[in-house]
Amino acid sequence: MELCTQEEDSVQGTAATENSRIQIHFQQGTAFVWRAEDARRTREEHGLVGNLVGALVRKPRQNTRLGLPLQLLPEEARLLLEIGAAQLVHHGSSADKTYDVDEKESYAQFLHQSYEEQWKLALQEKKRTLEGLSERIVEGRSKRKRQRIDQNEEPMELSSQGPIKELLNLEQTFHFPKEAMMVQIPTAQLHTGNVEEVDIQENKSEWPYLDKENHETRYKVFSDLWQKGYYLTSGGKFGGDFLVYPGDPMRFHAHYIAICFSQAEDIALSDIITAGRLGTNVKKTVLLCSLDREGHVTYTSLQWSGL
Amino acid sequence: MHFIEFLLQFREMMKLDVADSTQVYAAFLVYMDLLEVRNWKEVQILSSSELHMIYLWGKEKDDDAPQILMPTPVSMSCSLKRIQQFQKLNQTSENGQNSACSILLAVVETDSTIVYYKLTDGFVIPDPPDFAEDVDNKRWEKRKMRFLR
Repeated sequence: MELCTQEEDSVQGTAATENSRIQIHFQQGTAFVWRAEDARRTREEHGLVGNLVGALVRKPRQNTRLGLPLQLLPEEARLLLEIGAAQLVHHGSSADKTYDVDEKESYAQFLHQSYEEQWKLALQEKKRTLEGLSERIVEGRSKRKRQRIDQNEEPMELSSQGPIKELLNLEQTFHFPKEAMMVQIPTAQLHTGNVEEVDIQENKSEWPYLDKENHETRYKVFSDLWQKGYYLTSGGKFGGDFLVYPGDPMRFHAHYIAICFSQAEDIALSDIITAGRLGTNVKKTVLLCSLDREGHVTYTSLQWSGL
Repeated sequence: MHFIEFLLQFREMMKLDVADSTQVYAAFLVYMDLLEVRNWKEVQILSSSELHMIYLWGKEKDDDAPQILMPTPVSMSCSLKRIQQFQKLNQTSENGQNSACSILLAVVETDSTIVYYKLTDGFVIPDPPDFAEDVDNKRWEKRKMRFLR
């Protein structure tokens, strides 16, 4: 079956663009952005990067380039919620959803209508090709006929006038198999029926980060750096909490590897050396981040000193 | 400096009685390293009873800005709070015209090798990457081609 992607269903998509809040879908403690428009706004308007984790519809068996949904760090999701740019929604998993007869009926009808339209378009296309080629077809046939006449020496009249016979009753004979039909893959959810807004404070069991010891520090550091205009991604690649970019990560190298500590926490010196040495080798500064007693974020840059 | 003088210096440090003996010993090793190996100038031994440690002050060259060093044996761990307190010590001390507020952490290994790490308050922008090197790199070229495809 052929596949085609199409921008989200126009009516719903454009009506809900500019002022509406980004919908963060919340599945078992993980935050996803599913709508293409929301993912674009997350990055362009709010400077939050996230991570695309879905397979591309037209290129499924590879993972160098990925598509929707956009998975957000817990800190990114919380920031979007706290600045009021997003709402957290919850919807029953699609496996639980049962479709009633009407829905099935209307979907079948939609498919049928789509088939009819595509049948007409395919017919036109076929006609156009045949018309374009008809001269050559006629030429070829009369040539073959002449050859046969020469061999059999049977005189037959040549009817090279008029359209070729295939074009005459094409509409009756034309066959467009259902398997060749294009199927629309929407880039936004078409049914918003079973979506409900969730409050994180009330759903601590589903949002496990709030109780984690490190989350508060990580979130304060994240939002402070974000307010300073930096772009952040998760820091796993270099063994830190965040990577800090001076601009969009597509265009810049990271400047800092941010590692969060609580202020009184004892840090093993070997860890400091490991982080500092790695940072120097990849030309980044290691930022040791912590919260002071008033809850302000303090930063200490760590660099190897080539004494 | 003669080794006897070093020995006397070490005794002086022990007499200050502000830190435990491993830290004093670490400070002493760093002190010797600075003077004998790295040729630092005007190295001074200072102490802080608040932080229970002996620390050092010195200049890499005569006309360089002075720096302060925090000698730490590798067995000790160190919190950010302690580092920040030490940075403040630097600001308030009479020798602390060093306003950039950076300190050197000298980590002394158990075999007495020493590594130095610089800790600066705030953000320090790293050196730019070497683009010339990257462009010559064939692997990088290949990857670039792949991304442009």
